[in-house]
Amino acid sequence: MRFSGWQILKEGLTGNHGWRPHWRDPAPKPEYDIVIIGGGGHGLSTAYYLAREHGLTNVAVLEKGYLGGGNVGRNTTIVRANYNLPGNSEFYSHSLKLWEGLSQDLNYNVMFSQRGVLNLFHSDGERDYAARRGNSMAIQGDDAVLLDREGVRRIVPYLDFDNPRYPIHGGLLHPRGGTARHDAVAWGLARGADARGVDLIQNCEVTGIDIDRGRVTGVQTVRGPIRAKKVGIVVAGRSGQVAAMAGLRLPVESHILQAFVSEGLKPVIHHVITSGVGHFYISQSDKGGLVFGGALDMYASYAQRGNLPGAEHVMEAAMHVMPMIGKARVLRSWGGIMDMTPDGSPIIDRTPVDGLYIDCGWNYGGFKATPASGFAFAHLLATDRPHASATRFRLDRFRTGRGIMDEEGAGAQHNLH
Amino acid sequence: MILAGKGRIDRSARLDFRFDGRALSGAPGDTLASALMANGVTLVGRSFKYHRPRGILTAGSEEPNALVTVGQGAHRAPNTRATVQELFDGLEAVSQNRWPSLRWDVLAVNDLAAPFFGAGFYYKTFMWPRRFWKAVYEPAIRRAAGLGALDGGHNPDRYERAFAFCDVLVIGGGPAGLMAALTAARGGADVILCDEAPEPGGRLRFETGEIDGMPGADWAAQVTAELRTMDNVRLMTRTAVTGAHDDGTYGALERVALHLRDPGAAPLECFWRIVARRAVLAAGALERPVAFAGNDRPGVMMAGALRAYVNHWGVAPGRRVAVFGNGDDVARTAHDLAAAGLEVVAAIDSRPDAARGGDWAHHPGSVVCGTAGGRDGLEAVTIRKPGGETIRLACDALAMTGGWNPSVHLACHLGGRPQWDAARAAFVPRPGMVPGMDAVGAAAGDFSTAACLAGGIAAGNAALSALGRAAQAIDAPAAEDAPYAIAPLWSVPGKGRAWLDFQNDVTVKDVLLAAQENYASVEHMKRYTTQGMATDQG
Amino acid sequence: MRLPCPLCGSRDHREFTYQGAAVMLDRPAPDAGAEAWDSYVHLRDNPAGATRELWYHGAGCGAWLVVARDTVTHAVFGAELARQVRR
Repeated sequence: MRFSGWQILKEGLTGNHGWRPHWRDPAPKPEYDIVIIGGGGHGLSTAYYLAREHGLTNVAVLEKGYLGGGNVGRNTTIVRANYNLPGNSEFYSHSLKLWEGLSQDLNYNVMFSQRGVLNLFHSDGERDYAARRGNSMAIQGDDAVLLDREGVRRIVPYLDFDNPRYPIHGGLLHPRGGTARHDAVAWGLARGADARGVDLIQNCEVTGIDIDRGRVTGVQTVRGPIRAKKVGIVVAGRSGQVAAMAGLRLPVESHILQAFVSEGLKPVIHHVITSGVGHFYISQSDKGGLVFGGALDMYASYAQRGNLPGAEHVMEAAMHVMPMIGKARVLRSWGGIMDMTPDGSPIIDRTPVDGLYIDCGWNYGGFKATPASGFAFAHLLATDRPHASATRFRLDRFRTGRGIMDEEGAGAQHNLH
Repeated sequence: MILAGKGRIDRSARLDFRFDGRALSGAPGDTLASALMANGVTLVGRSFKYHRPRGILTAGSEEPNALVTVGQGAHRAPNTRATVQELFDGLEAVSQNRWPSLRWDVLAVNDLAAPFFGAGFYYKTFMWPRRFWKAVYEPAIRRAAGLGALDGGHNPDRYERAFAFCDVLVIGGGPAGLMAALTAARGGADVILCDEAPEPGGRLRFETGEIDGMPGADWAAQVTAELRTMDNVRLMTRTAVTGAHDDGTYGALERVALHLRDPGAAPLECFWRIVARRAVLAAGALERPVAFAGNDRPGVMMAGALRAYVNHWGVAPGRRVAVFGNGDDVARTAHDLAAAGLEVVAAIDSRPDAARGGDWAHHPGSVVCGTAGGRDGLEAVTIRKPGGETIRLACDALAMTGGWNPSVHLACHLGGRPQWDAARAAFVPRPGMVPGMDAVGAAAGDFSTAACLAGGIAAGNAALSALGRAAQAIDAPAAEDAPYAIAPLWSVPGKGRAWLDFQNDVTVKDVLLAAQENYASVEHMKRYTTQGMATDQG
Repeated sequence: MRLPCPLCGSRDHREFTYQGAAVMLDRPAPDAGAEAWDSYVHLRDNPAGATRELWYHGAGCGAWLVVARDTVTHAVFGAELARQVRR
């Protein structure tokens, strides 16, 4: 069924009885060409692009919980292409282009909203870096506007420009950046993959990866064994555990990142605003909630919840940057599990096991990569060659030292990015 | 309206306030909600999506409808619960999510288009032509978003943070919490008792039952007075425990001066980080609405809330009241209303074997299947009798009760899941969900006053023994010990829209549509319909 | 979360700085080769469950601790001074 305003009108007039399931609940088949472990955003995206770009539909996505229950269901919905280093730049640029047509492509409105991402800077050093980054973005073909203090004040007058510790010197505006309705992205991709014949299997936890003489042959699941010619691991937040089923150790440490949403408020924040003050960032959803967050909790965790110091740190940063927020109430907070790599950049690559591929290490930036990650991983699974947008996301770059993409220059420690 | 001579607050003193510019008056001890009810105001807000007219539904922090903006300029606080905000002289409140006025709201037209605005409709449209999303559709959606508004100016008010440490943190000061705190304190433990209300007592402040031969509210005041004299007890009123974190760390927000006209040097609020060796969750329970057609009309209220307005504040939304539910609270409510001089139009109990509770029209095995009235309130309800026959009864208000849900929220903060209790038709906490915390009283599904008192003593003693202190031999005071008798009643079948989530405008139809489209996992259901995602968490 | 510092007692974790898995104590020999160094610097078991980590008590006594902890439940099993773990 194609979605449209006419369809809504027709169904509304006839009692809304005609709406069909957006995806099936198929029983797993004994064998697939490709099994994707993980039905989060990147796994669903991989399945969608395998079918759409490569015509591969004898594919199963195995999800231990519900579709879209990974970090695609627990993020702060920001989409941007404002990276500084080769490797990341072209990848996120490609992703932004996919975002710009995603609703029409999926026939599912993911509410991609290009209201602009504004990175504030609070010192001369930060201004220099913003200018460098803006130049990199322009060279990549994306958009960047360096604003001085008054330029920022014109578009976001409610910030605290004269905070003694973090005065606002200006900002780097990325007009094509914005937000999307995160659950809709997962559901739209799921519906698109299902419609093309991919089996999306929920409540199907993978318990083992079958390997015969260095080659993957299938997976063990709570719903029985499934044979597969190729297996892709796309399980951000559990990458280490699933990779360990194949005897692999990864350059990944799992950390918790908290996020918060306020009660619904009339529109007051148009852009996505970020600041170096505690990595604070904020936007306002189309429903009215202020969606915001900050730094990691700074210890290894799989708990999907944070602790009080992390939360208080974010609130402090919010009050520094935007003192009006003190009159809003927090409605919910949650925690997502981040695959933190030593350079803060992701991995899309083959593994030492033949037929086993991995897409992981998205740190805290996986949501905006959802279409391009699936696109590139599908390309790798289908052709055994990395896609042109993702040639540098190699698993062995830390061992060899070649192609490390440390955007923040923080050094090889998992929790510093 | 005011019920002369009823209630426990003194209405001889007068506080002036304004609602939407209209000058009104209340009394010390009123909440904004009880004061509005005293003045006969029934329309207090508009819902999020359909801009339906809404009245006061509850008497506590769970309120979904009566959200207002209090204060002016950069001091103004949006989405303030009128049911929590204490009245002070000069209070200024305005209604939200309406234009140009609460009575005449242009976007109420959304309600007429409801067949096209079902769950998730926006995912299926607004895609063509592509540039219209940014230029036309999304700006229109964003303009309609949200309830109250921030001022935009820097928040000029003062706030504070503080640390506290204790042996036993008691969360909630109803009968269970008071007894737990008293037991632990008599055993020598350092105790902090937090209660979100201005005075401890919980439901005892609102009900008519007796403890040890005195009104429950008087008993609570007596225990509170004893606790106040003890050096090892810190009584924190107007303080909501907001989070349970690892290793006995709790967050709590104290409303220090939000009830005052002029806070002076005091902060408005204080955020406490409390580290406790043991905790007792005595947070009580929240009453469930019943989903029936038109259940969101102003004048339809929770039964427990209506008892609170009548018994404690001495006010009522109207003279003629019907009561509808699925348990013994139907008769209890009818009794209290009749005792306050109100006319009980009907006691409608879905249980075929429900006993007649008093001298009023008794409708066992019956349900309310419709309501009628205007934006200012209820005029009539339609009752469906066991044989299918329907009758229409004129009334000004309807009290509804679908049973009680234990307030298990804090117990779930570390990721533990509560368990379903079929007899109580509710989720109750499992032991050990938060290490060091015991749930007790209504929060644990023990709803009788006697069970709450005994449970509180046991929890206090359990905390003492965990701390290596001697248990206290305390006799439970005498109180009602009625069994909790209900029959599950989740929704009343029939035509018309029946609300599940009042603020976000989620109806039974939306949930059925979501299931039809295979958003059947509870997480999919929640996220697709937005059920349970409003300020009252559904 | 609270950590039991052997010198200071139970303290809120905001007094401490997390410094990664305790495998950092097992530094390979300088000539151990690229694989050993890659493993030491980059690769992690990253367990969902019991783990051992280094924490620095910067806002307290300044000691380096080895903390035994569960990454799923956040239960803390104990802490030792790192200098006593690695002599």
